[in-house]
Amino acid sequence: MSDAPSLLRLQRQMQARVLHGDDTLLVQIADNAGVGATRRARVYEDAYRLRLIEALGNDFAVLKAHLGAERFEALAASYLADHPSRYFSMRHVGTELSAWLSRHPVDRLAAQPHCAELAAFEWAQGEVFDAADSNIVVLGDIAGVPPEAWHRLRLQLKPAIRWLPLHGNAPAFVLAHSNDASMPAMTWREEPIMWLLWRRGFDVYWRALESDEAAALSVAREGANFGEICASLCAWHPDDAVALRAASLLKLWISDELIAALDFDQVAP
Amino acid sequence: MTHHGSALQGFGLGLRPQHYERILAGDCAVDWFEILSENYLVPGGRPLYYLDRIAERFPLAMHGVSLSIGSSDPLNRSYLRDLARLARRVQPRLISDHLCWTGVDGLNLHDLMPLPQTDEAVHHVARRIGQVQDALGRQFVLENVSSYVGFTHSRLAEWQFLSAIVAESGCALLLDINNVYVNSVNHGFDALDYLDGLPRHSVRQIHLAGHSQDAAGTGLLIDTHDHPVCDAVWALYAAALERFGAVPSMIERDDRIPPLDDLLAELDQARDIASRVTTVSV
Repeated sequence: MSDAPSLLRLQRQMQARVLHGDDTLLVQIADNAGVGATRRARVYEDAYRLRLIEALGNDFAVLKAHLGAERFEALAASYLADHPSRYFSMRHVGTELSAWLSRHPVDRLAAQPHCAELAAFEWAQGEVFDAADSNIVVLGDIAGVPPEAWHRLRLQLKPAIRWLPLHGNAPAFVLAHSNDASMPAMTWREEPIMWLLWRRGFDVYWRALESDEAAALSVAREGANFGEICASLCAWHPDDAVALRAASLLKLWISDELIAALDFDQVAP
Repeated sequence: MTHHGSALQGFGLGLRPQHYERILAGDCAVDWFEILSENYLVPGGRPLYYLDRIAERFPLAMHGVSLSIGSSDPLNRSYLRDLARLARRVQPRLISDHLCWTGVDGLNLHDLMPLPQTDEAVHHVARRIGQVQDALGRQFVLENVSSYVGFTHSRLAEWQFLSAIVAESGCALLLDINNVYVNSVNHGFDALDYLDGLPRHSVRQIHLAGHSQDAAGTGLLIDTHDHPVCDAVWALYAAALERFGAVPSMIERDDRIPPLDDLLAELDQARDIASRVTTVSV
């Protein structure tokens, strides 16, 4: 009675019980129904573990299917022990999972880098799903670009886009999972391929980028003008083919709904 | 936009993504929807698209789980700003969260953790509700939670604790009838004492939900929101309406979400009880 804990102390004790099974809370728990302090506290311990592991299982459904529920739950519990949530929303709890996986072997059976890439790919899908909305440039908007402005035209990419260099075949796993098909064999290549994920309507799309497209899109994202985008293609194409390739890429990006705006500042006469 | 400033009236449901299309199809006998605020604190995409369209047709209440009003940590100002921004977008009739804490020292347990029912906690929570009401520019609505532990140094009954916070902060109450029932079993008190002890004119909204038995066989009830409302909770709902009048009421289902028609049928039960109780009262 005389040493009633402060609110802060009690909260630290209860949090330590939930996260680490610390015993100091138990003496503070009243039990007027014969249930027992340990069992009462256990409700919160179980709820925490089950709720967060379920949330991770939803966000990384393919990784879970790949590993099997039991191994995934062990992995998730281990991740949560290293990364207790500091986020207001459970939506963000898996933010560090891919990076964590790249440092921590799942177990002897799992291919660790592949699992890390799969987690990164699934996380990117989630980020694209509810990324900020934006305007969409359509092919007809190109007609509004004056011929003399093309060299200074800059493409504003929409926010619902992510890039991911992948050595393995994580997208094939995601596709197999969504088709209820069996998982493919893992493949791994020395040089990564750049994958693009983006939202069109409410659906998330992805595709592998050719090297020249990855380079052009990369400089476009950094704010390069169309002349500079064309220059970035010179490493792959002869000079007389660059303009045609740039135009076809621009058409592809617009039909994929990747472009939010065409910027060409008017020059004073 | 058109609903700003009005009070909720009638019978509502928790808005769940599984029901978006059916709701927008236009044959949904619901007076309002309650949204889980955190589901829409996102930059864009499908959730906000549907929210905007549903907000055009139905009054909304915003219900959060992340305010952590009882935590010893400072209030999360960034979260409060996001909440205020969402409120400007959907113009909710009311904004609520739970009488609980969700973490301390920067961590989040993502659960509604119980508070000791002490004077210290009353003053602490009331002071923070004042800050929330200032930030949101409106009266805040506080919901009672289910709990599985009580504390030896609690000096107030749960209803006294709630009443003291209401008196000191000027907030209103969202009364979760299921949580009252669950706690009456888990902590061994009379649920009618609870209802009798609450400030009569502070209850702005009622939640009705289902619960589960503790799988460990302890007799504890767990607030799972994955079952229909049970008979004991319906009876307590009638008792609440007798005391508090025609309070806007809703079914809250968060897991094992059934087809919309099942929830509408459950909501009709609430309507029937309210109609009967109102008739008796008059």
